[in-house]
Amino acid sequence: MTHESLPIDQRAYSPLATPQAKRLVDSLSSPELGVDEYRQAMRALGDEMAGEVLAKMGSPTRPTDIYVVCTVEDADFLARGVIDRLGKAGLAQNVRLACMWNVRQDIAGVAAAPIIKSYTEKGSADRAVVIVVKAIIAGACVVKTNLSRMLSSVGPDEVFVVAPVLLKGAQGRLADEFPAEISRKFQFVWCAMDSRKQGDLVVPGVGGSVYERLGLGNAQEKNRYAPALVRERRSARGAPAQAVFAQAMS
Amino acid sequence: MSEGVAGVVQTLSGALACRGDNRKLNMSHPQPSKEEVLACADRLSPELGAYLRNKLRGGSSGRKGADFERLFAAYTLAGEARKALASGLPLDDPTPWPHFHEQAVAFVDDLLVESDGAHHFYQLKSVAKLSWAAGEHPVAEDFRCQARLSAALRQPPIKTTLVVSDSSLREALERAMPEDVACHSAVDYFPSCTSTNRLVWEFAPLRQAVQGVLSRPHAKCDDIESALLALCSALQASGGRRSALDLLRAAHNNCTLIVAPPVAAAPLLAGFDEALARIDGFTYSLDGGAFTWRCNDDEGVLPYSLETPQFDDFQRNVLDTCPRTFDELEPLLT
Repeated sequence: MTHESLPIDQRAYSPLATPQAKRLVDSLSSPELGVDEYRQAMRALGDEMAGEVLAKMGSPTRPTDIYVVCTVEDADFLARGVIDRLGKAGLAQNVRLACMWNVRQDIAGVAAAPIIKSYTEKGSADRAVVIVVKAIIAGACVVKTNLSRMLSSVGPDEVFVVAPVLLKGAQGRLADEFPAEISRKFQFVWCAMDSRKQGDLVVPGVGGSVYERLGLGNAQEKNRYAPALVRERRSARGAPAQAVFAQAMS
Repeated sequence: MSEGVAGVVQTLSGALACRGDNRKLNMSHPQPSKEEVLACADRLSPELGAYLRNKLRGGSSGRKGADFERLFAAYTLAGEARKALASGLPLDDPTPWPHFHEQAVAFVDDLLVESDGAHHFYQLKSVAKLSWAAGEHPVAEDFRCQARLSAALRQPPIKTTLVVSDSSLREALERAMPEDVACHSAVDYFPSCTSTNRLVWEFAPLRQAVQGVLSRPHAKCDDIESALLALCSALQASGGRRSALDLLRAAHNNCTLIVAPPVAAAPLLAGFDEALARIDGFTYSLDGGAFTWRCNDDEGVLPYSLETPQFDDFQRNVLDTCPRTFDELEPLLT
């Protein structure tokens, strides 16, 4: 699918976004960026944005579990970048991955994204940090669903919502989906905020359909993808987490 | 409502009873049809017919799929269906199951549930202020008229419930309930939320009710929200009187975690169970008409019912692929 390049100057940037993060998020909307480069850019963005999360998180008291919650399409790229950075900070053994396969539906006039498959590493239910990762948040129904799944069994002290791109109003939309005692824990970490849509797509957003830009097909085909990150961690279950991190970084 | 209209209500009831269609006095006798009631109301009094028509029109226009009234109906459906499943009602005959009717042709008309030999009429008000006697058509008068009309129609015993979205208002209305409607009336509470997800998180009775119709025990809030929306969708599409059994089956099409009693359980393909048994740690269940599975830290549910061609294809794919590990099976599970 071709994507028309739109003026970048219509977007706002987070005051906390690094110059590198801004350059990377703007590069996503270039139609010349191939699949491999796009994937690399997403992974690098995850690494950059995790830096801001670490600065906000302070020094978590071990053995706090850090749940990284992502969708299937973000696992090997944006989420892996976040986990890379956590590993560099010596927190690899704290990470618990939760990867969700969602289907998008309109049920009774409400946008829904039920989870048909999940990989969720078990950890402690309290004194945890949740980092939910999403390439772009517009209506927030996917993040709402995946957060709802996670928060049903984990009562975190902090919830970081990490997204390179937000559609204006997404923070409020997501906060409204949860009771106040939960939503007041949300801390949004973002790079760019756009205010326009073309049909269902935010513009310039992430340069079109994130599934197609990542080379995963359409919204149905992407659910057949089996992230390497999940397979690595699944097969290493029981092995020291740092060894898994070291293997992934090599 | 004026005394004249109330008097007409009695005449209407008598007219229906004298139609000569030999309807028997029957505790499970469903509501007369909309056309029958309106036609009789028109013949007896234009005022009565107009009032009933206005209630019907005002309630159905501009309905959203998951508005306050429908969410309450879905919540009630979940509770009634759970009781029906637990009581062992036949799974192949909807007749003895509770029946639901949104916007019934009635004075108390937001929801009618026929269950346990009674007709339960609900009026829903998502307002901050309300009293029994205020307004052009007071709530108490609607409740009185409904009791008289149902008695004249020789319907089963009725209950009339006023449902409000403010718990303090509920208490005040309970204290101030007129004596003449108290014998068949109650006041209940159901919260009004800006989002269905937030409603699920904030109202424990709703979570408990919906969990009762799910095949997955200890369901998380996201599953409960999906199921709630599926129940709303089934009610929205129903258009008229539907059994809880049929509504469950319709909801199952949008959320396979909702129990859908199979009309006839189809046998699994030969070798399918053995093929899955070879995968270390993999377990599955067919309860409720869905294929739910778990393998260590992975879990899921197929997004289509056991009775669909897609499930047949899934079984054949498993047999053709002969997976030996979960990694080999995984691509087939979506």
